[in-house]
Amino acid sequence: MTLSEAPLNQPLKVSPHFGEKDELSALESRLMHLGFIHEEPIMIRKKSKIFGSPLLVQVRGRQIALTKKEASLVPVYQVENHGL
Amino acid sequence: MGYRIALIGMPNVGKTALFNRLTGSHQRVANFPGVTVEAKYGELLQDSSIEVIDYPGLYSLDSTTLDEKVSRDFLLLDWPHRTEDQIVLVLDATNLDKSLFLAIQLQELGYHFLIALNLMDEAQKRGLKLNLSLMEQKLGKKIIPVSASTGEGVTELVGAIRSIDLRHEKQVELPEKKDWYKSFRDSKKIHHIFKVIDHLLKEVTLSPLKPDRFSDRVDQYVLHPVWGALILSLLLLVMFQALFSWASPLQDGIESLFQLVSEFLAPYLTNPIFKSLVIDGIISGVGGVVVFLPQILILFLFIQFLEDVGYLGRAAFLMDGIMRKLGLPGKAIIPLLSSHACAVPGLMSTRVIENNRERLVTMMVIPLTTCSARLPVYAVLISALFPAEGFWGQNFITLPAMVMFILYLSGIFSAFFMAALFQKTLKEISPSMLLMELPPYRIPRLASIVRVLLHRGKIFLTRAGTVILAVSLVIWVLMTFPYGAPVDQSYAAMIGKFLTPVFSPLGFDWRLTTALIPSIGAREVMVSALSMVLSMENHQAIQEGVISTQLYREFGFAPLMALMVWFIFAPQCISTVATLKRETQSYRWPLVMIAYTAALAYLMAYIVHFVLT
Repeated sequence: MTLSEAPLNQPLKVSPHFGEKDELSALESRLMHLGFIHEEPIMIRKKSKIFGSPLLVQVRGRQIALTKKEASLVPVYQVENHGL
Repeated sequence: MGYRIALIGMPNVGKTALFNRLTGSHQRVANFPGVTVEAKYGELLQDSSIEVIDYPGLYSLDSTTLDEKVSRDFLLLDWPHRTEDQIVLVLDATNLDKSLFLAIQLQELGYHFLIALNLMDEAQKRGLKLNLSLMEQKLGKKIIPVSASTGEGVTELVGAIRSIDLRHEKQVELPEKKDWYKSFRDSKKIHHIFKVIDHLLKEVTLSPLKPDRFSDRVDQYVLHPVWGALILSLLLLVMFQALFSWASPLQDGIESLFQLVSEFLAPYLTNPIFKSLVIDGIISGVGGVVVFLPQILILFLFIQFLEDVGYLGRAAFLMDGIMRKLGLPGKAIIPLLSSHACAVPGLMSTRVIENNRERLVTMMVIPLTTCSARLPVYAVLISALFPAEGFWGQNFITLPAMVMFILYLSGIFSAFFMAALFQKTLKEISPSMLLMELPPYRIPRLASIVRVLLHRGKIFLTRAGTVILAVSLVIWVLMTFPYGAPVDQSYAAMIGKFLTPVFSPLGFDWRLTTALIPSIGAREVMVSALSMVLSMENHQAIQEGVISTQLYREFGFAPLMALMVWFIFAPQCISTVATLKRETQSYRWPLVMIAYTAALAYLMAYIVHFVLT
């Protein structure tokens, strides 16, 4: 599952495989710099279905806005509870 | 010996506010050599031998935007070899987790720098307590807590800057230039830095920062699909209203002021040529530049306020879905709407778009939107072409209103069409992305807003204003000389006649072609230029609306329709071109814009004329 398909307001974690390759793209690198690193607890705070609007994701105490396309680069998995 | 202090930090850490505190009004703005990125230079208030430079914000040494590359190149190429270059790294105490990334990255490479821990007052209010001396010890750097908004701690920072030891040897281990991306984009290293940050923060935090519940609560409404859209529409409506209505008394004031100056000077100017030069050339030329200021200042007041509050990112979030479908980023809504008042403030306001490619695309299509200077031209042409009869119902919707509406729509539609086209052709410039952090809401400071307004106003007057004035003087020469000759023998008419073969497929004769020349100065001048080539008395023509009937009688339906269509796309007024040149720091983009709008205008006007005849 990628971040773009993940459910709203559910505890998620970034997959341990994110960034596991030799050459990151500029976007992947920026995502990691903003805190999307493996096993990081995250949560989708807002998303709107109209017009394919962007997502608002909470990560490391920050609110990150990103488009669906950008979110589709981040593999995630659901967890029981991570306290965000 | 004098030395230079580079202020380095992530975006949104209050670097520029700190720069203002350190340098006061001793600032100058220039561009970094070879790029469009703006640099602010200043002298330290307490010691003029120390120069302070405000570098663009960067997330890390892996840079994607032009702005970031400037700062990266300074860090990697210049700093290691220049003894006189020193770094003050600005961190945001309310977002240490983020801003420490660059600090750790630089520290591990062996850089030395001073840390200015900004927003410390706000962080303390939210309960943050740090063991600063332990943090200094762990990082091996001096840390000075400051508050750029209140000025607290600035004296201590200045003291620390002045006592920097220049003899400290610079020894950094940097990868070769070809390996930069590989090295700074390495996911293992990124993970490592985050681990170091986690570890460090665990050690030095005595009491943690409470989460920003206020921003969360406000965002419940601001980012709500219904309330959020309503708030955004309301704000844009106010902005639109301000640009159109609130600016106009100020503009009228400026015009009458220049009128007064002319009337005051007129009796003293005896030589008729000199009098015409001063009044029709210089004074009206300068007036034509200054008259843009109210709209520019009002727009930037509005934008800077929203930026400082933290709203602009939210506006982008709300609009991004729709706008991206149309080939533009969410933030383009502000420049695109403001350019309906005037393209000049519209172009300047594209600075809200950080991404270079998207900013460029937005700038390129802005001149297609229907600016207010086109309105007088449209009004005259519509009243010449279409009778003011009820179109639907009695007088509920009239034909002229419908035509005006279609003209507006054509402008917007062609802007989006061209945006999609430019997005496809400019792919190599930089990746297009929304990806950004929404900052917490903050109370804006009047002083910093005023500073931005003065700065923008000054830049417009000195950089774009001079070009505009020069071109309006050239146009004055073309329209006035040979002195005393009838209008069909002026230089402008000669050029017009020379160009007539080019424009005759559109149905333009030498008179319409000639009238196009002064409209390069300002579009609304077209109306008086038309009355001039029709050899009418200026005031009578415009005031009594005689010009419309006269126009229709002289030129007929098809050429005037072609002229109206021509005005949707071209000509670009010199103010637009000069501002674009200033904002892109190149001749290339203004030339591309002139070329494509002229081609589009010619093609569309040709089709209209062809179909109608």
